[in-house]
Amino acid sequence: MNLGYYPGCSLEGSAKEFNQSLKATLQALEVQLSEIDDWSCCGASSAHSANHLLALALPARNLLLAKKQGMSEIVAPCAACYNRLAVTRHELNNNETARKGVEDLLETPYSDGMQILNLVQLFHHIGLPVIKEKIKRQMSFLKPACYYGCLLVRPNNITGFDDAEHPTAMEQVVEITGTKAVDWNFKVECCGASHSIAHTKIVEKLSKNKLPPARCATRTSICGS
Amino acid sequence: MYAGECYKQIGTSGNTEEMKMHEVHKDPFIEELIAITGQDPAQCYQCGKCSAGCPVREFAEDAPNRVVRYVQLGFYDKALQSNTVWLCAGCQTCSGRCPKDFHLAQFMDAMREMGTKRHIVTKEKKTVAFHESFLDQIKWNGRSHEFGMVLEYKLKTMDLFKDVDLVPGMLSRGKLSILPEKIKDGNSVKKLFKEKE
Ligand code: SF4
Ligand code: SF4
Repeated sequence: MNLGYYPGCSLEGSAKEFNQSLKATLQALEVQLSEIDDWSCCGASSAHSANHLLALALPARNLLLAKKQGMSEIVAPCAACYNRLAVTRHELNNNETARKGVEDLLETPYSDGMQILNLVQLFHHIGLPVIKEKIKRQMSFLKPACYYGCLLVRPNNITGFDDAEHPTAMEQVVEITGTKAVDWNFKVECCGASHSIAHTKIVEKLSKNKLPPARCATRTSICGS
Repeated sequence: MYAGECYKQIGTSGNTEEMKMHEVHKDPFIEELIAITGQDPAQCYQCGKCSAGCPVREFAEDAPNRVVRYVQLGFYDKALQSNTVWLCAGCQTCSGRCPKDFHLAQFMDAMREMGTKRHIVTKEKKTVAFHESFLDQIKWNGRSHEFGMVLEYKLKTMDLFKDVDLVPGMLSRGKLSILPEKIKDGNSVKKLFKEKE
């Protein structure tokens, strides 16, 4: 399997180990990733706070590059990148005014034909039985709590791969390693990440809120995407 | 007629078709908001479900649905000045739960965009400084550059010493690079910022 790859800025910087472990995992699963040549930032939460067309044009540039480079599916491991790419694709396909505005900015016509996958979707796409066969070590000693956060599941009409309030697709993935994911109430609660620089206290509070419920059910790890 | 009167008039008719208040008074603010978001703020019937699940409600001065109410009543400056607009984390919990399918997260985006355009002074200077610093990196390098972004943010806010203790560890683990990694075709990104300026 050969897929287009959009690492996004964080995976080249503060989330470097996420990039490394993902690449090692996919290598073991014999999935090849081709990085989109000359990809640029998706604009994350700052672009859609500034200008609605900029917020679509930044991801659209990457969608067009991927298409030009012959890709039809791209993997975006960062939840924010995944969300921005998926929202952009949806808007460009369904909102003609937005599409015209973006085409004017990019000075290129847009045409669709790109599937965007987050990691949970990617693992389901590869096939859970296929992955299960390749697992060398059972992880039954872990009691993971799956954390989806906001951007994998919302807005549901666009991401749409699972229930927005009670998704279970990530649990299905971790459970093929022989562990049992625990049920908890915070899997789609916001952690406040967009405020991590300007309002650290808010992020601390929103993130800390999630830890006691996680601990009291003797959870030993929280997995996210 | 101001928007509040207009709302009262059409509000009593009970006909939801007629409740598109922009069609009645063609208010330029509402027109612009609809052009950006594709939705009429009159669509919201103020049930408050959005605010009940909003993660930043406890930190903000107004409940998110109150900001919508300000706009419905024509108190545009009050809406744009509310710190709720900038404290909104864009989590979209509200949009997903709204019984009227009102995309409140997108409404908040538009409030930020329209407030900035109108040079509205907000108390949330740090949040604004963060977004500006983040976008500047993209404009200059094509990608976000965490070191450059934090540096610009610190200079803008004069909050010089916060989190500096994290820097040596991040540098030694290769998670922070002093110099940005520029993309090859930087101009193709720079020109996308035309709209914003
Ligand atoms: S949930 Fe929807 S209808 Fe209810 S107050 Fe919020 S935006 Fe308005
Ligand atoms: S998107 Fe903003 S207003 Fe809506 S629930 Fe999240 S933080 Fe609150």
